[in-house]
Amino acid sequence: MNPLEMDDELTPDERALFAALPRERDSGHLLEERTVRALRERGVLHAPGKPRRVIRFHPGWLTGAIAAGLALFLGGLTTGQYLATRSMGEVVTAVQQQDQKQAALLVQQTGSAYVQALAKLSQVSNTASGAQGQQGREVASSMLRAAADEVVRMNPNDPVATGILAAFDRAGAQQRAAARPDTAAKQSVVWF
Amino acid sequence: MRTEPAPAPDRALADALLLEGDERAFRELYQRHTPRLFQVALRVVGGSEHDAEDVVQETWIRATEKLAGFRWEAAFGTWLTGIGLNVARGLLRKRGRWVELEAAPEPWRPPPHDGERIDLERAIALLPAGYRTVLVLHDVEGYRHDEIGEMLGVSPGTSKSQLFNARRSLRQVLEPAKGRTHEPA
Repeated sequence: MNPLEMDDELTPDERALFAALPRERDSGHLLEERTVRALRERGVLHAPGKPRRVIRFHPGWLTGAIAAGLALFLGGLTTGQYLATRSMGEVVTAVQQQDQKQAALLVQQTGSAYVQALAKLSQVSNTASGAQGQQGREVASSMLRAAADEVVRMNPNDPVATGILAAFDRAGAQQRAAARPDTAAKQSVVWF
Repeated sequence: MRTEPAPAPDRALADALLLEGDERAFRELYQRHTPRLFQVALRVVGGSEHDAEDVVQETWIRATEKLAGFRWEAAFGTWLTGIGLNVARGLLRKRGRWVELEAAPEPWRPPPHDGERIDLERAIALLPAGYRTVLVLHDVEGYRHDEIGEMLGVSPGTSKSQLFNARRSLRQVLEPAKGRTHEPA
């Protein structure tokens, strides 16, 4: 039968019988206690005499805890900064070492190029005009003197560099001495 | 003149239970709703007080577990009854006494007795579990078919069909002189 077509209402007597049935029934105190105990064991309930444990902080303890926490924080901060600084120093040192290495390599490369250029100048001096050869030699001497200056700046006691500079000084003095009679003559011309 | 304070609403008690584990609040809820829950459970399980007690305890345990998710769109008692029905069905299913309501009903014959009229309570207990449950919910507790369908996880039409068969079977039990054998609709 289609449930929608069911027309099986209760008779008045049946309704009265159902209406007379009790809707509630006492389950007894034991079942309540059993249920409460089961819920306590599961941690759902807390007995009225045993309220949930509330942690109360003593002010002194709380202050100490805050101070300890702060000290811990600052200690961590300092340690972190130290490690960061040390790390940065290592990086700077590494960069400096890398720079020194690169600078030394650059000196070696440019020094080799300088020597090669001088050799080339020496070769072409035989065929080049006198003025160009003279200019090349002056530039070469000037570079040599500048290089010797830098070496002495790095190491004032370097015998080779100091020797080169001393030779340049002597040569300069000789050139100035050789040039003096002309200057005196010119002065004579001016004054006489 | 002193007046008794108004009883706390179910929701306030449930909140106290949920948030603070308040045992007093739980006991008040328990004492307010358990008598009806126990009576329904007793009828659904077929009259065994021991089984009904197990159903009530397990119902409250599950209810406290699910309480945080209860949205209070239905009455607390209705929600609790729904949980209780599921617990009772699980117990009956374990014992092989629950046939899914959507399945075809099995032919059922009223148990023999001495021919004297038996009371309605006993007659209900003699019904198959599915019939009994729908009959109790509809004719005793006053739930509608859509509510019963929701509680039992069946369509309202199935609930109507079960009720139709349940009433016919009940009449057979109550009027043995007619000697009818119930044929499911």
